[in-house]
Amino acid sequence: MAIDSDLELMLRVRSGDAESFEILLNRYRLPLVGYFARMVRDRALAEDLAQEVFLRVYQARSRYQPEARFTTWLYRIATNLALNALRDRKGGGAASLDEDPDGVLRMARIADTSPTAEQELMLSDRARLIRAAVETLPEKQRAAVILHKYQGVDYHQIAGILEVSESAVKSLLFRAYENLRERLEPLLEGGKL
Amino acid sequence: MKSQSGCIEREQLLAYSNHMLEPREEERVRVHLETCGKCRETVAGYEKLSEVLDEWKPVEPSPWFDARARARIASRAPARPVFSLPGVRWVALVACAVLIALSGFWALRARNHVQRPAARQEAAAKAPAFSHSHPSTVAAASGSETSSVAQQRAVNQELDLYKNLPVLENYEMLANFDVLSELPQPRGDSND
Repeated sequence: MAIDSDLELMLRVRSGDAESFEILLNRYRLPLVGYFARMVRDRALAEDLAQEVFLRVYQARSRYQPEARFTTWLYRIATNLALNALRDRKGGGAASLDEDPDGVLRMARIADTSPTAEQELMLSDRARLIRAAVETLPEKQRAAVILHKYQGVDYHQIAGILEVSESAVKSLLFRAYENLRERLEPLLEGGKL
Repeated sequence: MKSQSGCIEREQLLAYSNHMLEPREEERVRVHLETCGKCRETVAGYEKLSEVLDEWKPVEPSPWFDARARARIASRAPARPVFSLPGVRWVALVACAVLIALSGFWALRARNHVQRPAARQEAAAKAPAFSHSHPSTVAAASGSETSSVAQQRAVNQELDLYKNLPVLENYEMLANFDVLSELPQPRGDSND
């Protein structure tokens, strides 16, 4: 059975087909929750925002114009919501790698190579260190990296989502990856935490 | 694009490691990397960074995510109006047209019912009044009212008016009216 494209499904949703909307919901719930969880850290908020995206897509179904790719439109809504959520809670204490609140960076520098269960725990710490490094990025760099690295969105689409030029995306991603390379140096050098 | 040292710029190397270059540009970088250890090292650093970033795994939506999403949409999205359904729309239009036609018909019919008794009452009211003031024309009025009878009635009414003119009874008042005194006097009266 041929898989319906997002565009076909959305056009059917526009004409009132609830089943097509269900397919889109199933197709994009995991990517959207994952995107928001990385953007805002809070899982409950991530789910809430992902539901809000679906609601907005449903409410705007009659105005949907298939000019851009569906995912560009979807992630544009999602990115605006995520950036607004971040701004709303700004000053509320997003984790900063400079402050190293969990001491993960310090632990990374003194880590040994012993395997065992402790390594599993360390793996979790590595993930926390990566998350903290991404969270130190300016909002747009963060969104660009998460879209590119974790959501598999290409430069052209990121430009459409962030409403900037493609060369601006290239530059944004370059600065973001350079920042991450610098901040995650202990992980890159040692290979193990 | 190459830097002053002859190496490819880091931004290009990052795009190369992300497979984001056009085929021609990608081939050019690949050829350069064969002979440049420094650029190879840079690309390897980006690839290592990408591997490290992969360690941050995504979270799964909770089991109740779908149900909550549906409930949220159901509670906030307005229900589809019944009249937007294709079949119902035509039925509703036809029903509206029939209703308008029926209400127009009933309105006309009700108006006729009201007008007929009113006309009868008006005719009944006119007949006695006419016979009271003009007994000679009662016979004519009781039958079909011809144009000569109508003319006669008009003449009689005019005569009645002249007979009852109150101004003629106040001749003295009019004679002393200033404006009238300024009018040229009749010849017989001018003895001066």
